[in-house]
Amino acid sequence: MPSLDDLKKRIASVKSTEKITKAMKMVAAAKLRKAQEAAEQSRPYADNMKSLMDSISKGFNSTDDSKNLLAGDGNDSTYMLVLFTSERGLCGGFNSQISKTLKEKIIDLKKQNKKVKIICVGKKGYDIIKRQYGELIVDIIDMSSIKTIQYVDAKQISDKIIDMYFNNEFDKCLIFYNKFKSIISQIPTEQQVIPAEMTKDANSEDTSKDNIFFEFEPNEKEILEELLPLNFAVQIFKALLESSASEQGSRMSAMDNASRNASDMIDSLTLFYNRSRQAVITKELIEIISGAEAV
Amino acid sequence: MSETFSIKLVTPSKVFLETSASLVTVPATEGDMGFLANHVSFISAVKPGFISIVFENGDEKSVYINEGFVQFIDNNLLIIAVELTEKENISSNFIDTKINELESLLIDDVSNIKIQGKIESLKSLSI
Repeated sequence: MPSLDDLKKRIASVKSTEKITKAMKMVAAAKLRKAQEAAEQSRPYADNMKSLMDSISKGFNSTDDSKNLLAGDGNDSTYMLVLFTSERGLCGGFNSQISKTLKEKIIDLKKQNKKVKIICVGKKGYDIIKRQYGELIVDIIDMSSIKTIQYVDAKQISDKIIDMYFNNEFDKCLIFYNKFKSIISQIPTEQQVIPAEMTKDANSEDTSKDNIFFEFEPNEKEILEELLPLNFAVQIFKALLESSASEQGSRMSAMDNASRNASDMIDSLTLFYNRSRQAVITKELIEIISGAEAV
Repeated sequence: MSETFSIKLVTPSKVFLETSASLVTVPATEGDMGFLANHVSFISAVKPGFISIVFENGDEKSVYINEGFVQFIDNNLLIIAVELTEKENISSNFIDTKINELESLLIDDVSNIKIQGKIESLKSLSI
């Protein structure tokens, strides 16, 4: 049985842990609000970009076989997987959840004899993946110096990946990130970004739009050449924002749980401490009484 | 009063402006384009320059665009931009730094006509 002194120390240490987790929860809550706002404000851009992409690509048929970001070049032997994780830990299942999705995909692709390359955005994902698939990782992008995510950060990442694409280093690119749904729920998401995945709704409501004839300037091909890299950068930007909002949400609920556990632990330790103290007092009293009786 | 149409300017970080206007001039890559209501459906790339917006009451507004795209469909003008700044907040220094940025890109890729074109259009801007 631990001594009273030990118990006292233990209670003090749990109390200070609780203070830390509570503080982290507060910080995460404040950051979450910001991250969520940023994610929401970027949505109209992504949506409008998509509608623009749709209206261009609808009538566009690649006449030449040149490698492009819209249709690819027909090959799919090498896959580039981009994993978005956090730079810091203590955020519950955030990193392990998305890394697990990635690992499942790797196993799946290996079964189909595809080559896999990985880019890790954020240190934590790298830490999880490196032991098993270290030799597949081609790049790690450090986000620790970036406080608030700007579009230029996404642009840097996307430029890097597009360069690799045109150097024939891979044929298909998938991104893995946690999509922010709510504070308690983040959805691990897998999304194909190269070649750009065009969602063709068979039963789309506005078929009238299909028939609209656009005038293009300079021409469709040149616009697409400019638009596709931009679209790709936007997808990366969106993933970064969603991921950072999810990270804060996940951290907030993890820290909330931790604080609650700590306070439960303090309660039960305090109870135990009081009981032990009472036991010691009773024991001493019995000793004194029996001592007095013996005289 | 002239007919109006709705316009929407978006950047990655926010919706910059959403309103209606009677005339919008956009620096498209092939030359400045003026949009009035009932313009034909149109898509174009945009080069660096100023978008000028004339509102229904005759007020004008000028916005700097770095690069982007413009789409006109059913009296809806959509401008998707990488960067938008009000003209009042633009100084010649701002333009100079943009030119320098682009010129540093040219060092690796001397024959890039697109970048050269952007520099030209930036140089021709008057504040």
